[in-house]
Amino acid sequence: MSGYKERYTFGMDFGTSDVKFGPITCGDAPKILHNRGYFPDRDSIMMRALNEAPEVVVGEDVPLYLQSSDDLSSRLIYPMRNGIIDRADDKAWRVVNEISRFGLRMFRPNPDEDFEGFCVVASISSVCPRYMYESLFDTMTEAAKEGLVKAITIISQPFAVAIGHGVTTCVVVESGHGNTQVCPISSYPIRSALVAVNRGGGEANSIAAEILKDLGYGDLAREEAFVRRVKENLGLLPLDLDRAVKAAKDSPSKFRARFKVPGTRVEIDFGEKSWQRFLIGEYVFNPRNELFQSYLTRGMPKPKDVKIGGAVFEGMIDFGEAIVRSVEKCPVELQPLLYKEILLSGGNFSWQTPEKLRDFATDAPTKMKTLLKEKGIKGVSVRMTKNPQYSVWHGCIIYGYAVPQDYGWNWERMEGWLPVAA
Amino acid sequence: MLFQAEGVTVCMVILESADWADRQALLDSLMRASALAGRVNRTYLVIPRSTASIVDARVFQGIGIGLFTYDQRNVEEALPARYFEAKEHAYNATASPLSTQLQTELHELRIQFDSLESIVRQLKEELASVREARTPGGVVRAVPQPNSAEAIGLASGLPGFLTGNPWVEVLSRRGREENTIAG
Repeated sequence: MSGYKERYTFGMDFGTSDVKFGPITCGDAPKILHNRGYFPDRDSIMMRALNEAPEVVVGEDVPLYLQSSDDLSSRLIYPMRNGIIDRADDKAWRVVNEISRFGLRMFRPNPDEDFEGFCVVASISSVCPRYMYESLFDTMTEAAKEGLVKAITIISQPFAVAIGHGVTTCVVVESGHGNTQVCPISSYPIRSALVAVNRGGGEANSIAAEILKDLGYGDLAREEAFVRRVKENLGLLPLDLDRAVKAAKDSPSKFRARFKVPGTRVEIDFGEKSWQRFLIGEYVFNPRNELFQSYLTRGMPKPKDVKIGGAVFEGMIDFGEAIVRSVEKCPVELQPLLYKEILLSGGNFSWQTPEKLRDFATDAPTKMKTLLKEKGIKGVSVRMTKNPQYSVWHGCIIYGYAVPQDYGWNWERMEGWLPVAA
Repeated sequence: MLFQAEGVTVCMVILESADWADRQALLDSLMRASALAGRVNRTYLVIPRSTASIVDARVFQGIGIGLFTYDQRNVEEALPARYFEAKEHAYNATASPLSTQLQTELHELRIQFDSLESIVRQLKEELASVREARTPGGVVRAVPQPNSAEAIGLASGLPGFLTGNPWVEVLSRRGREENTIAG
């Protein structure tokens, strides 16, 4: 194995919220940055007086430049909120460019070493269209002019998860803030069997906000960060929604959901409506239950089927159905092997299971098994990835280290190294 | 902080980075600066350079308060303060209690400093005796300082997650075999 890559392989996981990056020498954990950039108002008096505001700010300095909250939506850009960037979204690409160079510069070694640039493995959503690959290659080519990049390759996030987890035949279900990708892997990612779902952690936030409004916390429901905390602290994933709701209505005190925000006087109490905490988890996994109808008719956004960058993201399909559809696009001989190893990755699969509610609230792997059982699929093995936060980055590092440097980029396979050194 | 020279009195209200995060401390400083306008000739607010970008300078310009920014290397006048005719009696009236208060604070600080100096001396002695006891030859090894660039050169071995991972073998054959499943 090349000694050069033992030192200069560099992984970059472009997640919807965070970018995780660093060279192979980082050890087990990469650096983490918010995947966002801020465009300061360079015409303001102070910016002119200081004459130092960059066009775009990334990294830990972003809070220092934040101005009016009214401007945040237009100036604070999360380029990969849905995993995909529009071809013409110049601001988003500018942020990606800046973050990439920021990360690479952070680890530039001493000039007297034999450094010719990093061998960068970037990881993006499996549904990203070809132009995103091309733009990322352009970004790295620009970075190569500073001597930061020697070669670049791009792999999909589910593929990286499978590599990081050490499983060569499996189905990876990667669920982020905006969408969920189901991707079978058999030594290679099977692209023709990819299924994308237009639902993720954002949908759990939406229903949690509706519930808070109904409970009289409408003013707090406007704060996304607060809603997320309520979801994480009070939301439950039911084994069987109807049974859980009935039990919680019969015995509200046993299921009571109460949460006090540390350091504040704010306390949320679902009281008699504590059964609603089960809706939060169920809505992510299976939004078709009729209990959600009343929220949808009152204006809660319904996850729609959308076409993004050439891929169709289904909105209302349940996760079990998504896995079955994906696996059934693969050769019959392979299907049993795929069902034997289903990997769940992403924060959207982390649900608490309070001890006293074990009969009603469950974890994501058990829920997924239940959904598959309803479709007649038995004997499956569903697991969470060992290290969900870093598994994509681990996969990038392993890929970069192992793939021979003379294996050139191939657009059909969407694999291999593209040399970009200046 | 007050400066007097050639009949001109300049007051600086200094905001530390920690104050910036504390809304109450920030408001107190702004109110103090605002109240001093007219009692001294020029009033400045002194803020950390890193936080300057979120200040709307027009507000200060409107009421005549100037702005200085500072970091570890430089102090710069970002916005000049307007000159006010100071009411001398008003300043003199407050000068005496202010001076007394400062003297008291200085005295207390001196006591605290003496006490800290004595503690540091004691700790130094204890540390020296511990070092002697743990290194019989009297040799103390230097602890390497963490440095991201150095870390690259110093790292030995590969990360644990590579060990025993079957993909290393699978991927190392890329380009040297045909695959029939790739989509």
